[in-house]
Amino acid sequence: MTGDSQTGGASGGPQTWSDPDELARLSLRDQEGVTVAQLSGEVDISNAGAIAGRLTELPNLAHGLIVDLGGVEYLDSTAIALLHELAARLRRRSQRLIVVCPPDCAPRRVLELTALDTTIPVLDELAPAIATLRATD
Amino acid sequence: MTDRPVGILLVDDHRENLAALHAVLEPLGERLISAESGDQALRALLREDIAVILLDVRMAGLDGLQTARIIRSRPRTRHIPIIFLTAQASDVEEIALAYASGAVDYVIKPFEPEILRAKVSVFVELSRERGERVRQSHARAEAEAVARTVRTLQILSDAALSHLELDGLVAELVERAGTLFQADSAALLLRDENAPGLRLRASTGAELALPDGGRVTLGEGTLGRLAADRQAALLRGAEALGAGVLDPGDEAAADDEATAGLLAVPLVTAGELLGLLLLGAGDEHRFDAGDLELLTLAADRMAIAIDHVQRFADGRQLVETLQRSLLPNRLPRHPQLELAARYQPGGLAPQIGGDWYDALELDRNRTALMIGDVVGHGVRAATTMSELRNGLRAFAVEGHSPAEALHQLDRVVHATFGSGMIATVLFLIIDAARGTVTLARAGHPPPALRGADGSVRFLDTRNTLPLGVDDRTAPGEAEYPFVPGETLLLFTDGLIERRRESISVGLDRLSEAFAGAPEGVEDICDHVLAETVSEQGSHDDVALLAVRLLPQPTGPLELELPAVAGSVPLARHRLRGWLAGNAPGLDFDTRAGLEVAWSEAVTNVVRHAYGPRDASFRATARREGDDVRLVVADDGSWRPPRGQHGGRGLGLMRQLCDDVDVDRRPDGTTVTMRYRLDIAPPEANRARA
Repeated sequence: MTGDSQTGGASGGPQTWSDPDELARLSLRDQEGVTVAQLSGEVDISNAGAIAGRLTELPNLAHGLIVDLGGVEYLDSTAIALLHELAARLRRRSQRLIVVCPPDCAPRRVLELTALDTTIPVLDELAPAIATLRATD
Repeated sequence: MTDRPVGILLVDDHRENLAALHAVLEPLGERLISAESGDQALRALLREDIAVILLDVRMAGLDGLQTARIIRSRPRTRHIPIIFLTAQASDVEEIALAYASGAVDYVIKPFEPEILRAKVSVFVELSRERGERVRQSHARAEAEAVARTVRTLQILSDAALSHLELDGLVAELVERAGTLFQADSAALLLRDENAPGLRLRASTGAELALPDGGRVTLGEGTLGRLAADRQAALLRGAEALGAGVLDPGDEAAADDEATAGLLAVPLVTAGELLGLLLLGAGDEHRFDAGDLELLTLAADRMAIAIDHVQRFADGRQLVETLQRSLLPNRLPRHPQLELAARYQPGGLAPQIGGDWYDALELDRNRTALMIGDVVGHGVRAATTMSELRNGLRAFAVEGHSPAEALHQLDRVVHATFGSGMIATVLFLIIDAARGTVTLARAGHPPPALRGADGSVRFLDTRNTLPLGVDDRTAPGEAEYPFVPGETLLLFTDGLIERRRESISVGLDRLSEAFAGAPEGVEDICDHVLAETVSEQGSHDDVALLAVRLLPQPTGPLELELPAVAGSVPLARHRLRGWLAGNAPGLDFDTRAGLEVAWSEAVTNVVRHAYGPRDASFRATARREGDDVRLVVADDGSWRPPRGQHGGRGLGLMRQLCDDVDVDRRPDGTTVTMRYRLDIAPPEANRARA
């Protein structure tokens, strides 16, 4: 419940974080050797910077990162910019970014209107996303 | 007094108190035995034949309550009445405890000599009568009967302990007495509050045909005369019928008029008639003289229990009245807020709790709500509560934020009471215009927020210590959106705490009850109380305050906000609420699309925050026929979108609205977006998107 709290850690359990206003929550976990960042709540200019910070400071030994937007209720162009920057940063490390967003999920329309899916793969479900990343050597 | 003097045991660890008790009780002419500790008292009980014990509650070593428990646990001393002496009038809980441990009475120090003497002499008398009856009884009855006596009294005493309100107690006593004596019918008549005489209060089994629909006039008829003379009787056959009790139409009686028995025992305490207990049997030989004696002994116990509960109810009513006088008698009215509050005193003793709540209007838009809990009970806790409430009111009116106000209050607490006076407080300010709630807590449970969709969460803050612990650090403060249709519930821990249960279970229960409650705040309070407070009642007080932000009255939304990132979610949440009130039934995509377009326009202003500090912008939303018009205006110069992604926001606005106009002038930029609501063919919008 407490804002800006961190639980779990290097021991492998999920790390959860939320911005002080509890607008968004971010949960990071390792699933089958792939880092999955589960984002929920609302993402806009007021918290995008802090979320980006959490996502890019990942010690990343994996093939890449999955950002799961399944629990996101709101996002706008600031979040789209965040995802583009994140993809570019990972690309420089030869890692991939996959966005997971079910078709009935609120952010889906913004992803399509901004044509994010033409440069970053957007999948409906988590399992194929993990399989895709694991398949990349 | 021609009887042999009986022993009265005086137990107090202060010699001067013992001397005072001696002086008061000497005129009774009984044998006074002193003990200066619980241990000494227990030893004296082994040697002496004691009729009544006066026992100080607070003693070094074995205290009064512990001593009483031991006395009760020994068969030989179990039945000796105990009068507890307690030091503080405010210490009502102690009295409740004393009562629960089996005491028959209590006296608050400093005592009135006459009252103490009167009480003691009543017990002395009772003991003498009982001694006489027990002696007669022993002369006749076998060991089995004695065992039965003990068991019966025990069962009836247990009933007395498990009830704190009269109706439940008398029903239970009648039920148990009927079962114990294998009666076909049992009834209890008590003094009528509104008329002279006795009135039927509880009955069980076959119906007794009481005269005058259950009313007995003292001195009239067999029962009236028995009651007036405080005389117990076993009536048989024609006598019983003559008492007007056993129905001549009754099947058993119809067969043979002589086969009917009735036990009639008056309930008397301190010489005062409380009522009449009747046990009836279709068989006239069901009851014998032994039953009459046993029931007479039992009636003493029952009378004392009934007397206690009657006094208890009076005291409790007084305390509740006092408590309510310390709570606001009216909640502020705000066109957009719906407020309701409840205060429910703790389940056991009649006591003034330290729970309180308050609400006041700070200005046209802002309303302050407070709720708190002072540790302890009684007049002192209530006084402290009153001081805290007034202090917090003052800081709120002065314009302090919740965290500042609590910090100031903590300083006052330290200065006034010193550290160690523990109290918890939750203070929040609702800004109906901005659609926010700002809160700070001092060790108090966080408020619960129910969204328009019925989901419940708790609004937490950091750095929360109760008042009176450390006044050097201010509590944390947090601001949350609070939009129309949402409800906040403030409560004290009595609502979530139950003995032998973790707090999280209580919080879950509260969440569930709140989520399932009806919409109106009055109904919410009733529902939550009914679902969370256990049937025995909470052992602690419960205060509850519910506030709902009503959907915006239709009309334009007009915001003026600082050009900072935090205004983006704020403006969005306000639009969300406004749409709910002004464009109800909007489909999800449309609503979400308008939220994005609006947030993008505001984000543009914030991102290009211009010139001097403290810049602000205006954002308005209004209905124009079937159109929604969103306008975001700033005083800065529009900067063309820069960078690779810069134009994305404007692109989204154009895709999500029918018209977007950007009016750039030297003194500011105004973005106007128009959206035609889906009243026309629904597919049109999709096509545009």
